[in-house]
Amino acid sequence: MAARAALRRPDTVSGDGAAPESAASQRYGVREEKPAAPASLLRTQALHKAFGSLVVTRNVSLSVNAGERHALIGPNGAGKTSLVHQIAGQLAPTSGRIFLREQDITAAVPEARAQLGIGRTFQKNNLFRGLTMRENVRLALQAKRRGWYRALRATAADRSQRAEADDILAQVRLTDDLDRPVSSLSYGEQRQLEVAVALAGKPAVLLLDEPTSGMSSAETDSMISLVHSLPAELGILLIEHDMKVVFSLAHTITVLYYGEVLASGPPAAIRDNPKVRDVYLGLGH
Amino acid sequence: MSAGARRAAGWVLLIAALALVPLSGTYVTGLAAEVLVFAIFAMSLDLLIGYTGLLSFGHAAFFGVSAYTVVILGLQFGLSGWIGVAAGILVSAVVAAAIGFFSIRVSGIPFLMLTMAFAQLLMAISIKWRSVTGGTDGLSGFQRPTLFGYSLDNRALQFYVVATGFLLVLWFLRRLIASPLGSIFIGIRENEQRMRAAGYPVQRFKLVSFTLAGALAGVGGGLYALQNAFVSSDILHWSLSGDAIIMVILGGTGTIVGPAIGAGMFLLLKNVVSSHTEYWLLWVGIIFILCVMFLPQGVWGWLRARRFGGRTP
Repeated sequence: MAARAALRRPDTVSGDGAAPESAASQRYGVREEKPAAPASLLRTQALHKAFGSLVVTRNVSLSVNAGERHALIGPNGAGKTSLVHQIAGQLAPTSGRIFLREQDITAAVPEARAQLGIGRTFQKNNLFRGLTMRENVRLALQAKRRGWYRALRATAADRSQRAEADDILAQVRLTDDLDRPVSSLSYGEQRQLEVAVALAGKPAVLLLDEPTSGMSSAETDSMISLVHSLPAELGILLIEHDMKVVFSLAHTITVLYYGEVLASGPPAAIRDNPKVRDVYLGLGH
Repeated sequence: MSAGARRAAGWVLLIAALALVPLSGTYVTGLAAEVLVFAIFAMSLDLLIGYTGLLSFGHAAFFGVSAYTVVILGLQFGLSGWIGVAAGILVSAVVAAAIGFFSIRVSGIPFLMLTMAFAQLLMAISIKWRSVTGGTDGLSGFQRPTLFGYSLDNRALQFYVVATGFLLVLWFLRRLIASPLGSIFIGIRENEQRMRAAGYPVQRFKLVSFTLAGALAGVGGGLYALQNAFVSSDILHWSLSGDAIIMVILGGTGTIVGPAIGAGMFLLLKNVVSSHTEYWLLWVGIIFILCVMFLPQGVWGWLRARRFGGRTP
């Protein structure tokens, strides 16, 4: 995969190196920056991504604060998923920078970003299909435990991890027969599990890529209340097509149009924005 | 029976069966030892193919390097075969770490080609470096070590040593697959992208898997050297890597015991059919094709799904 090769490019961020670095920063080769603006949890700065002449992200600067529900909307092909890929590290931006707690993570690989606190779900269910629900969540939990590779102790004997996995599954309302393999789950259950796996990484920022896509109206309502029930301090960046979901959850809405930020602000301002009405809300709504 | 009791019963039955094998005469005992050596080899390969999702086509390299280490240390330095096996496992692990370091940078077919190329490189060295490796003639004259005063020239003793190695590898693999580390390998097989998104340094764990598999293949190679007291460049040939893949698929990828059963089937076919016709590979090929078509989970995978509906040794 070209994208993966690109992610392993050397750290191109230069710094004076004078500031003492935290253990996590040293481990993943990210540098801490002096906060220029009021500290946000997650911030992109003039992010730009082009595939040849096709620009999918154009000069995007946005931020997500702790506890903020930030919705990202825009017509199909507006570059929403590409933006999430760049924030989570699956795609490398052409230029611009990404900060988590004012640390520059632009050059960090996805696994390093996950360890630093970025969790995500995928637009298309992207689970461990051959494994059980419980094992999907347990694996994600295990990633945050130190010393997982030390012992040859059986994972099945680890009761506390199992209980923790069950708690997270209960949080997304999956409680029945947790030893069912993913391949036997309904689509809606897989969407819920997708959120559970992301939550198991104990993220500070959660990127939800169309959590309700393909869901029935009842399932969508249940997903809305699920997102409402998530920890208040969690910062959430939510990509969503369903305006009911967006307006019932979001504190801030950013509208992308051809990779560019068309408007950004509180829901009421976005609803009344004539440009937004023109290109987006007017279409089919 | 509880799962624990069933597991214990399985081990007892297996050990008892292995203990009785030498009663069946030297020919069968020798064949059984060969089966167990290649069972270890195939099981180690399945750690890569079946559990980590890495299709390696150069696994003979680690088997061969270990066997060469045992024989060369014995012939050149007069070292006991026991030290040789320990050294062989170590050398295999080091060679696997080196080859793995470069190979895991790619996946799929390029990975397969790269692992094969490295193995071919080692074979070329074994052919050209005649003064040490004996070239295509191989190295003979290795003195088997002794155990409690008895020489390993004794077929039954050879078998017990090989069987002990087999049981240890089987036990180790079962523990590994049930452990956190094993669950990481399985996660990589299932969904590498999601593993990275969950925070696992996938490349590092692929290298761990590759090195472990190389070391375990080294156990097989070392025991092969003790059993045969001979090694030649044939042992590094790509066809041996291919045979191991066939064994894994025949028995069942992603199972621990399956590859051992596959090794048994493969070598029995080879020995039984080749005594009737020189086209024994044709029969292996036909059975392999039928197996892939009708038993895609392999013989053991199929049995397990039908009979036990769960995990057994």
